[in-house]
Amino acid sequence: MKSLAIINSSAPYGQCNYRESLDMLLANASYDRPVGLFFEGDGVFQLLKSTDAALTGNKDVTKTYGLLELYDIEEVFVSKQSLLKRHITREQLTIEVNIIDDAQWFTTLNNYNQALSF
Amino acid sequence: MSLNYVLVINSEVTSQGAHSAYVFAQELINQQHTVTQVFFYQGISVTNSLVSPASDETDVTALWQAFSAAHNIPLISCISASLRRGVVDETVAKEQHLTSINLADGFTLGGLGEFVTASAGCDRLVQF
Repeated sequence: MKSLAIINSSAPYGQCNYRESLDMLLANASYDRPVGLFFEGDGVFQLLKSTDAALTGNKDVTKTYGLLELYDIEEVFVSKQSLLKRHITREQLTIEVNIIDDAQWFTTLNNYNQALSF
Repeated sequence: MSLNYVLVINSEVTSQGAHSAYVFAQELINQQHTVTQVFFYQGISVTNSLVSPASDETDVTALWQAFSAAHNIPLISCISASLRRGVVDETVAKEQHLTSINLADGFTLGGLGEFVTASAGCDRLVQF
């Protein structure tokens, strides 16, 4: 099985990218396919603890991120520069992640055979 | 070297991506590659039979239908993404008690599992 990286670069709730990327991730993981989850740009907003999804009429995506462990999805990477630019710290994120810089970003992505971005 | 491709269409029928994907797919066949599956994920409007572009505009849905028929390449449309966007076939319309059917001919509704199976074994996955 080819491994798959899923890259989130859009903020949650404005579009349904966050939800459909998550559906895609979990579907692949449930077939025991090796998957990695990446967040960069405005995609890092998806990981904020403090977001109140109900205000936007949406389901709270952070609850589903709590399930990643159940699916054995441990490879979650977040762009350091994207966090810095938005003044977001590790403590504000809802799950444990690997924070990587731009140089590591591409070498890490390169470990996956395929990628989909949302 | 001939390679096995799976294409994912996340572009709407009104955006360039849906047409570029078609041109790309056509060229893959010209160059003797194989397209195992074209999976419509977020680009569901391409599969909607009610889309009616003006006569001087390109009918991207028709291009895909002809491509699929000519080369026997499955056009799979994600069922959950389709329901979210209001595109259904006869079976789904019955299940959901809907009064209309609008999945264009040549497209088949399928689960994400069908995409996982096809893409996990392909040589190249390309997203539009």
